[in-house]
Amino acid sequence: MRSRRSLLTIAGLGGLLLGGALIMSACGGSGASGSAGPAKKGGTYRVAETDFGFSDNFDPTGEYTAESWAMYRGLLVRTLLGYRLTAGVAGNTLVPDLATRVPTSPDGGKTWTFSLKTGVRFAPPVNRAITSHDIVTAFERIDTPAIAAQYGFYYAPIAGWDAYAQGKSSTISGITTPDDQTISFHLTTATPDFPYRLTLPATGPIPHEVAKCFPGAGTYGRDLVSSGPYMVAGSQSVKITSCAAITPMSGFDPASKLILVRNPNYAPSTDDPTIRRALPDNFSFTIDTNQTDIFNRINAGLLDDSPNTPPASIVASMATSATTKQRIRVVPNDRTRYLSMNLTTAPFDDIHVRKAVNLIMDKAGLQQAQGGPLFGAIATHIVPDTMFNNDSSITSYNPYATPNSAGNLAAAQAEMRLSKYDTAGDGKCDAAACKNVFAIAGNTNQGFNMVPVIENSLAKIGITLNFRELPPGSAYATINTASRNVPFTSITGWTKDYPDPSTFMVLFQSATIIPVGNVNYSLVGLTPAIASQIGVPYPKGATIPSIDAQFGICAQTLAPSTRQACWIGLDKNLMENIVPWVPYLSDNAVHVISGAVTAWDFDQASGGASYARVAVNPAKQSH
Amino acid sequence: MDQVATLGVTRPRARSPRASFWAKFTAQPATVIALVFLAVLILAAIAAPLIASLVGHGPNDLYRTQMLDGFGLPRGPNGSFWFGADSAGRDVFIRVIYGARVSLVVGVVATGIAVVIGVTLGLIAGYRGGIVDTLLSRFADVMLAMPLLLFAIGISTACSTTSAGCLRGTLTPGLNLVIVIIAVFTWPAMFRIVRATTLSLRETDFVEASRAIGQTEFSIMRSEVLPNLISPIVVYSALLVPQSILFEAYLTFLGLGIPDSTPSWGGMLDQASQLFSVAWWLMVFPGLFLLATVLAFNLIGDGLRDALDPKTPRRTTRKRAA
Amino acid sequence: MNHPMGRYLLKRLAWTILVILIVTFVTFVIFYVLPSGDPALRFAGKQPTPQILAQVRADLGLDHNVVVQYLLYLKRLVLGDTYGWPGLGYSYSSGAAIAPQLWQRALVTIQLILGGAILWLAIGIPVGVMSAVKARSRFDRISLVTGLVCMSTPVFWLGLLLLWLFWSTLGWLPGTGYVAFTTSPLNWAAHMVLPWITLALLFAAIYARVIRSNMIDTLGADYIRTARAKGLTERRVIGVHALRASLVPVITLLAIDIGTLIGGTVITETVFNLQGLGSWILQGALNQDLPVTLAVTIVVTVVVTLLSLIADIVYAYLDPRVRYK
Repeated sequence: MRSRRSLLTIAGLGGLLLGGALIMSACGGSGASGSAGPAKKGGTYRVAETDFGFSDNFDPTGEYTAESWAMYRGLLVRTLLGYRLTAGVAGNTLVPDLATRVPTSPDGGKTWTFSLKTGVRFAPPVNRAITSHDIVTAFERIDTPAIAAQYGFYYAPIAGWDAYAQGKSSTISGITTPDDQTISFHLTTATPDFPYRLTLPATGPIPHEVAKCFPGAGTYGRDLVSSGPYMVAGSQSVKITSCAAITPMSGFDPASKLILVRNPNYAPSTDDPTIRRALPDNFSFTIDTNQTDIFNRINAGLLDDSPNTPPASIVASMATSATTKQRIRVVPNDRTRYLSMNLTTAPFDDIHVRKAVNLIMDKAGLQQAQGGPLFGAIATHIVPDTMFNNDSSITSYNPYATPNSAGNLAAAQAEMRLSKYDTAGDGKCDAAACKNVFAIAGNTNQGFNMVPVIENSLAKIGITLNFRELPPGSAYATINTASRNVPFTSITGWTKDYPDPSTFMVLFQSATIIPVGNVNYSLVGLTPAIASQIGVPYPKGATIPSIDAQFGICAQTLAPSTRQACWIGLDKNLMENIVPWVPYLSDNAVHVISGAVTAWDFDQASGGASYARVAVNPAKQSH
Repeated sequence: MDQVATLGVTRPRARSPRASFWAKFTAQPATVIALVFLAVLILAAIAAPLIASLVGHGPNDLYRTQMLDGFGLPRGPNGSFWFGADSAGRDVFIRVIYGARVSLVVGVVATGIAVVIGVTLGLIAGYRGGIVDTLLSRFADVMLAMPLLLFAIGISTACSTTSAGCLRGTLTPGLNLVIVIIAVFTWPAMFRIVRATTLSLRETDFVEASRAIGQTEFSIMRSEVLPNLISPIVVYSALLVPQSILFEAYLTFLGLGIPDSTPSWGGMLDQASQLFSVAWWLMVFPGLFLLATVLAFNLIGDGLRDALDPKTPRRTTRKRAA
Repeated sequence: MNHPMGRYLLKRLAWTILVILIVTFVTFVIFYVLPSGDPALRFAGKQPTPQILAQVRADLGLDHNVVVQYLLYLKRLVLGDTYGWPGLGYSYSSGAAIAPQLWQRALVTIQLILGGAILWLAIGIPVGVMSAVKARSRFDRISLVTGLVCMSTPVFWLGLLLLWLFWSTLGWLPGTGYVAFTTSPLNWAAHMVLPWITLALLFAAIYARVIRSNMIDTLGADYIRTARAKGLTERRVIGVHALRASLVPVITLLAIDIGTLIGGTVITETVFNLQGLGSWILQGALNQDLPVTLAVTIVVTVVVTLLSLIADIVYAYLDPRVRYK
């Protein structure tokens, strides 16, 4: 559920007339914008956003948003393994970063050993070589409940993980460091995708001498010590002689700005300069709460980029001219938007109703509400095709195909007739349970635009919804609380944490169902025991389907092609036999950049601009 | 915080005959125009479904293939969509007509509730005085000091998380809730007027006399005090109606009022705030109707004041949205 | 304190504190019942275990009941916290200390209000005086109707209309946003002029009305008749004596309006994207950022009460009817 906040600010745009020319090719590449000239070193790359939206005040241990990951990966935090920081499938491919190579596991995925490159140093004020112990520090922080790491569950297979968390052991026994340049992870279960988990920024090296001074959640971010090509401005002025002497770095004010400058200790020789080009001298990230204002300033050359999605009105006017059109960048973003149906609440506790909803839904209308085709292709199943490397067995898979994706009344009614809720046999949901069904929507413009589309579609099969449009934060808090048992939700979307389909499928595991912060909104895999634990009535006489067994098999599969086929099978099983969602959009990331940008790329793995691969021409910038 | 308006009403006034009132009331042509406008608006609001079926567009019917472009942006006015379409592809003209229902209902009902509360408490406070007066007055002051937005956001969010709403389903988001919020923040204004007037009436000879001949407090209030309050209450209520209408539009504009599926002028303007540079019609038409309606009520309020009681203050002590 | 003035001030001060206590407590309770009122969820991650949630709640001091939390808040407020005095804490959504932002944003709001006030006085006073002097004239009637139209114009609509006209269509003025005076005085004014107009129009209409009716009353008062009888010129009678008397209630009004606007310019700030107190309290409430909301609420309550107190005192000193007794 990364980038929740940026999910919410998506605005509309249409794109058939713009054609595929804007969509960056799947093999990535850097899109220079021509008129601004060749990409050169220097200048300040100026980014503004409506809200930093940090989930842990910029402490990498707890930071879980697309934008902060893009900033860390490109600029501040190097990890054992990384990505090419480019668009498309290439950007989802593992490459070594701090490690010398991507290892293979000698025992089917239980042991992973890495050698660190030499000559990599922390930025000021630490100024020393990075060792394997600094990686251990990062893991110990993830495993410390008080620091509240956000995705610590990915590392639970490490031996001794729980013992450390519970204070029973002073070290994590499954992580060993034979010397300063070597680190080994010993897992309790085979985890073939473990290398991907070592690309997540929480696992980047953290100097213990600074981090020990920040024992609580959300505090280390003010003094983040960089291992990448840039650092927070004012880093060199921080005194680390004692914890009491440490002051916040002057370049970061969580309420207004984050300024980055070059890290003098960064050695390009330890990195791949074809990946991290590191061309601008400085980066400035500032807050402007008005989205439209940001894009007006980008168009005026006062800013260069924004992680927020541009409003449709702005992109529409830019698309009319050839010179402005080339400043719009569109990349498929490994994200699925979906409508969620709750398997325990009427009328969605009947699979025929759920299938009928899939058949009647005007997905083209929902796409238009989100801004039209440029903002994403219509989704036909759960995991985006790119996560399966565009495998042909899934790209054309559409179990609920309808003409123009606008819904098929005859097919939906035929499906509805099979339902117990169609008492009259007229293809309409006519039981009392079909009326006034509670539903949650977001109160953003897109959220508002979607509601009548959904209401009109469902009315055709006799279902009337009682929609409540809530501010996104409240909407998520409502549906996240399992005991509220919300039957239908339209605000939901999901994106990968790393390029493995498991990061989507985890949503349907019964283990994912928790009382607060639940994201298995459909309650797939609910058992009577879990139901009573989270305060949800288990439907009488029904059996809620489970994917736990199939998930376990896929997750343990090592061979990439078998593994991928397994996940594709699970996706199809979910779509045809469980039907928890109406997937409707495979998101595109849409960026509008200024005329001063001379190089731009998308970080596919993070889902944001590839800051390591951008460049500006200061002469073209306005002030 | 003690900006209590003291009124000049100190002695009972012989009531004008109805004819004389009507003549004074309609003396200004502007008042007559306002009355006619409101009559037409009320008729249109009542007949909204009829108008919709004549035009052939329902308030929530979507015409996205016709009225939205490839960017999902709405198209402007044409022969069958007189006021153009909104960003979901709905007919703005029909929604403006339906929107009149919300504004009129909120204006009248919210003001009505506020007047009943304000008058009742104002009479009690003004007549009883002492500790009752102090407590009620301070309560009104606190209400005026409450962070209104927070209150509105808090209640509307808290009532939106279950299908039942709040208070066992009596308070669901939307019209009911907006009316309650407006009434809660409007009654103190009426309270202050009534209290101040009652205070001055209490000291007058005829009330003293009634007390002397042994009338009960309730009957004194009803027969002696209340009739003398009619004029200020009527005039003041008329001025509160347009304020309540604006209040609703303001709450809905900030996303805290009427849900989008119910057409309302404030909600349409909220949408317009994102799109005004490409879709002027979204801003112009609902705004003009809102302005005209508020102006009409204000003109009628002025007319009533001129006809009934030229001394009533023109200013309310309620918070203004700016 | 036996001095009546002193006692009065003390009473007002006590009342202000009581109002702040009540208002902040209600704010606390409202947040407590909200669905996402638990800020711990923000920090606890994707699939928080109950242990992590409990830990974060304890870190944030949320593991107490609402009354205890409230008392702890008051304690920090009075005694100060790690960010200094008064102890307003830090924002749950940005993690930044409240106090420095509060002053920065108050500055923006003050610029908006003062600029607006100058404008509405500059329009309202002359129009009101002219209307009174020429009561029932054509000018009077036109200005009354115009005033009524201004008073009936929804503020947010006016703002959007001005933006559409002067920014989108004509391109004469820059769009929304705030530019500091120190950055560029010209740019600052260009960004502020539309918000000033938006804010001022409604008040100009109200002030013109108030001044007109005051002036008509004053012109009929005995001392004005005396002044006229003494043979003073009409210009002097109106310009000095009548105007002065008519402006006294306006000063009171101004103080109260400015006080109310400190937290009440939400719409203007939202439409024009000015980062002042009004838009902050809206963001705070929407993001359920309790410390932000409380801080703005407290400041607004204090300013409103102070200014209404000042208004009362000024009124007592300036009112000729009070002085001539």
